Amino acid sequence: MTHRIVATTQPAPPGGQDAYEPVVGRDLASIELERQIEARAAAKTASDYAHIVWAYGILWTVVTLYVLYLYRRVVRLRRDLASLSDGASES
Amino acid sequence: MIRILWSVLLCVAAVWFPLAVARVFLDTPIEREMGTVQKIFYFHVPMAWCMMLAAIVSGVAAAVQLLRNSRRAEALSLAAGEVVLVTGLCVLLTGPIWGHATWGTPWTWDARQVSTALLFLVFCAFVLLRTQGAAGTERLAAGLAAFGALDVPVIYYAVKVWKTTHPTTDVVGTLPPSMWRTLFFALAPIAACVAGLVAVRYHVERAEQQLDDLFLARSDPASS
Repeated sequence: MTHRIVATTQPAPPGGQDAYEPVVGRDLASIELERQIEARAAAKTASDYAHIVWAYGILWTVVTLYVLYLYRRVVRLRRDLASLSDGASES
Repeated sequence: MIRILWSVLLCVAAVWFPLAVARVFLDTPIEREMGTVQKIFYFHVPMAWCMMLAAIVSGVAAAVQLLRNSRRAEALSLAAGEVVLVTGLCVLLTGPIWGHATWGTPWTWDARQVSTALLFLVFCAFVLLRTQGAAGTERLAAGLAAFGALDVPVIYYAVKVWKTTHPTTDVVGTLPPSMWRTLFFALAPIAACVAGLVAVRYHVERAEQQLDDLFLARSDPASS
């Protein structure tokens, strides 16, 4: 089986001049400056996200640790209560 | 009654908190000068308010304990004092993280930072004395809690009296409505969680006091 390649590109205009418009206001210096600003903004956003993750992580960790501490106290309280009621039933 | 109260408060906080996080990150505009890191504000500030409120509750309860020798007030003072440590730790850690991003340094020895750290340290001493101290140190601990509560007005007025790096208390009034509404929306679950934790701790402390009384009565029936 053979394949046939069909060229769909328009032929160049006569006289050797192409029909493309020149790019205006996009010199290399402007592009580099734009890239630098974008990179700085991206770095700021990444830094902000890192700070937010740390702050929220700390909030959750501190509150969770306190809830665990309370839970341990409740468990100890129940154990003491059980030992007291056992002692009372024995006597 | 207290059990129902703390159950309701903690359930409200558990349901509301994810909604507050979603609102902070999805529905609130990014602040122009500070950028995304300003989102820490919505939890740092309510935590600071709750810390100051818990310190006042603990101090007032300690004063009542000293004046009337009330064991309920003693339990409430300890419960609120422990919550001052939890919220204070959150404030003292999230604040420097935010400061590192916006001021370029986590700690500036600012009057508000120092007075907040002082409150935290006073309540550390109170809780340590109350939990590790010998018998009879309850009144000394209560005095410490009452003294700690006096630091709350100092924290509040620190940014008004001294020139500080920390934003003033008027900053909330200058926020656009979309931001201050989110602040109060985030305050509700944090306040419910803090109140719920105080209620749980009070409940546990009261039960421990009653249990201690029962043990004492059992070991020495003549004293009961």
